[in-house]
Amino acid sequence: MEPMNPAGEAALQAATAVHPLIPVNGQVPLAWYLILATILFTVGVVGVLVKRNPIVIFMSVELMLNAVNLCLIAFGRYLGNIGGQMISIFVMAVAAAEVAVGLGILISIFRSRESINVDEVNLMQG
Amino acid sequence: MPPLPDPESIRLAILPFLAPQVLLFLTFGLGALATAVTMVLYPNPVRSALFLVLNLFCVAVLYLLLNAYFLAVVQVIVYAGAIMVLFLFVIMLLNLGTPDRSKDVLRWQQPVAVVGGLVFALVLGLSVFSTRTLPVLDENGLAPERQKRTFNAAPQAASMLGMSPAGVGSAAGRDTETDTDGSAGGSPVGNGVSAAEGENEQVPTLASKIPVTEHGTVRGIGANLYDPTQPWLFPFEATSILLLVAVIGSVVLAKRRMPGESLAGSRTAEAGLATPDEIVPGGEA
Repeated sequence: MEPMNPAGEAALQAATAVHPLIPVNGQVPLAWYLILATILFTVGVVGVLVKRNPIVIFMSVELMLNAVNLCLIAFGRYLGNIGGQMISIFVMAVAAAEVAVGLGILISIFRSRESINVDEVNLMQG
Repeated sequence: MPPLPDPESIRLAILPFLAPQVLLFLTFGLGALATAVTMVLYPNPVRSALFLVLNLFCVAVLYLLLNAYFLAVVQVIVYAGAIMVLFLFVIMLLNLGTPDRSKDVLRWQQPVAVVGGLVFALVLGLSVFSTRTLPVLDENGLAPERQKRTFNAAPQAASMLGMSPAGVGSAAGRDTETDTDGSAGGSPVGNGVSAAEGENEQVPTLASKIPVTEHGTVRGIGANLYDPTQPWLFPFEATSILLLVAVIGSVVLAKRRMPGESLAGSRTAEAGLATPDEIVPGGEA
């Protein structure tokens, strides 16, 4: 692939001559944030799959949304772009709406059957 | 016995990890990891919720490290404050504070889920490690020049709204004029003249005057969020409708049905049956 900006490419190569996981200029490398967000997201995925309590499943989803927010903000910071923080605000608003509706559904289910184990709620199963 | 490495080289190898920002990241990043894992492993939902609060605090500190001051505060107030209180409220309302002792009908699912999660982490990690040229900040915490791309969606937004780009430009110009009027207190005559001159040119908006390091402050967030030349204004307004729908939906879902309000509901309640009508209100209408 032909570099679009040879001087900039060379400068970038010189700046990242050290391993991308080693901090340079006293700053945290971007890769650390990405790796942390990856692990947090995976913990959330495993929590959603393993847990039987829908409230803990919701909390795991919150964990995943937080990992994505961290990723977005880190990329926005390291690219000098405001977009990451803007999208994070919308993610937070959607998370708040999701939790409000989800917990309302849980209360409704609990009223009708006194249990909210996700394995027993199979009304819409085909 | 292999020769010991030079102490000076060891010092040089360790030195990058002793920068204050790096130490803060290590502390709170490991804290976020530990609390997240504990949250998933704990059988008690209340303890899980409290560990999630700790995790949210750690992530808020990481947002501060990333210069996202406004989002760090919003994280603490909205997530750790409002949303987690809602979680704890529902846990205690439904009396779910004790661990679930019901029989697990899908015993094989847990190891499969853990293995699947590890494979997922492997794929994501490989995609991170295979990216060799990630942007690097300089000593002042500024992004490299090459990556700085200003996102200007004015032409697309204008065509979507059925406006001419000149109209958007003049709107942006008027916006800038009022902003400078408010902050700098310049003479209204001079501002009016400059706005008239810049009718058909690209007028710098307030957002473009804010330095990158102040993007995360309340001023930077507000200037970018309400900037008509950037694409964030319409999603912001749409979010208000989303929140309204969520409020109405949760009230309708959690509303206790009055006796005699719904014939179908009372009949099934007598029979001890659960019907879709009870779970989805409004279905009996």
